[in-house]
Amino acid sequence: MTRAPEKLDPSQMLDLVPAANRAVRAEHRGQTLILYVPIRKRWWMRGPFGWLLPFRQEKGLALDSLGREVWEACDGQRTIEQITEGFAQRHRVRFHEAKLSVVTFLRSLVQRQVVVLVLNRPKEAS
Amino acid sequence: MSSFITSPDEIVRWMGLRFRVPLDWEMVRHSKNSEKGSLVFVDRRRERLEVHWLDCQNEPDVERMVDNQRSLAQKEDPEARVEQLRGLGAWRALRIISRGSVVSRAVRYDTKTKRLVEVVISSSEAEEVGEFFQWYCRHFEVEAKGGQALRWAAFDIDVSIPSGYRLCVAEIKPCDAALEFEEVDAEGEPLLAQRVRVRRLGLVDSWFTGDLKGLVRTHAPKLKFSAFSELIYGAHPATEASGVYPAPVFTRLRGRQVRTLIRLWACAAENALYEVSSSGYRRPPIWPTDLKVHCRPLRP
Repeated sequence: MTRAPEKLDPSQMLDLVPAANRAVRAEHRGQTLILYVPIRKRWWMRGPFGWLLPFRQEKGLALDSLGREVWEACDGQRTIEQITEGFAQRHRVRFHEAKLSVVTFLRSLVQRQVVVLVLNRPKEAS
Repeated sequence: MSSFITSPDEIVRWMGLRFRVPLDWEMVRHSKNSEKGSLVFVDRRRERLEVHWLDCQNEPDVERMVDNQRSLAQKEDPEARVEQLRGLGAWRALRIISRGSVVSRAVRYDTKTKRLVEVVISSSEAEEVGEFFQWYCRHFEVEAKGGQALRWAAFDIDVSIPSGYRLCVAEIKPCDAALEFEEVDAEGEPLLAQRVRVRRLGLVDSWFTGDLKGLVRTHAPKLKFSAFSELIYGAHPATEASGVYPAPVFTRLRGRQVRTLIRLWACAAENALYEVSSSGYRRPPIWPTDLKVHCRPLRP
């Protein structure tokens, strides 16, 4: 039986650590960075249909300079709060403005399976 | 200052109230009513501060209000600990500790402006808020009545307006904040003729190409421009444009065609772009220079 995911306290959102999907391939084209995410093959894509029809293997996502900056910060070490703080300092915007931009962008990356968000809970004392 | 503050602070001026808040606190709710209203601020994670104001013709009994508040807190939670805070000057203050949360409330009546002001700061028991609360109350000033406020500072906009204007619109979006003021008569009724608007756009390095003239045209697509001029505002190269909005013949004959002046400049130090516009029809609109916008290098 699958366990229902635990509900996240909204105040913990800033403690989440975005980690990049290792299967993602990055390609630079001038100022634009294109991320290619492998597409999961359905059963009907594997058999004879797969031999006859050229199904695409991956889907691309083009990032501008701001998106690229956030993507490069998703190293699996930094929390959303740290990424937001860095973004706010570099572009001289308020923390909350930066948070909205960063979180909206990260949400779109999560939906496209480019990054996952990890919550590092403090270890319980033994 | 206590560890409650984790970053430098900034001055907020709204409806004649002037106070300081940590830089990473954000105003999330605001009232445009000068007689009765409130502001709510959040820090990075939770709601922290509420500021309430109310115009009172007669001086209210502040001591009694504090007593009522104490009784109410104990009625709501009989196990709550209510402490009276002293040494805050004109403020009468309480600290209510209940179920791990601490609510510090202070109230004060300003006899000069006849305004009752209340501040509420929320924290947890683990946080040391006492020193911060004292610091906050010490820096709180009632400068003027809400309808007579001449300086506004919020959402990174810091502006001095001429007297006889009041806030009518506050459009706040991320990296795009605008405050609009309208001219009012002695009774505070809007005259519907003169309006001034200050807009601040952030994150300029990611979208602005440097073409101020093109941006003016984009922001006012219906305006028929009569003149463009280049000038220096503070240390910034600025573009000023004037024009009229198209109107039917009858409106033009009645002299009700709206004339507009727009001034636009980019502030590299703030990575922001400011747009100040004024419009009116009964008499020429006030020049944007009558409305002093203090971007960071120009801030007194």
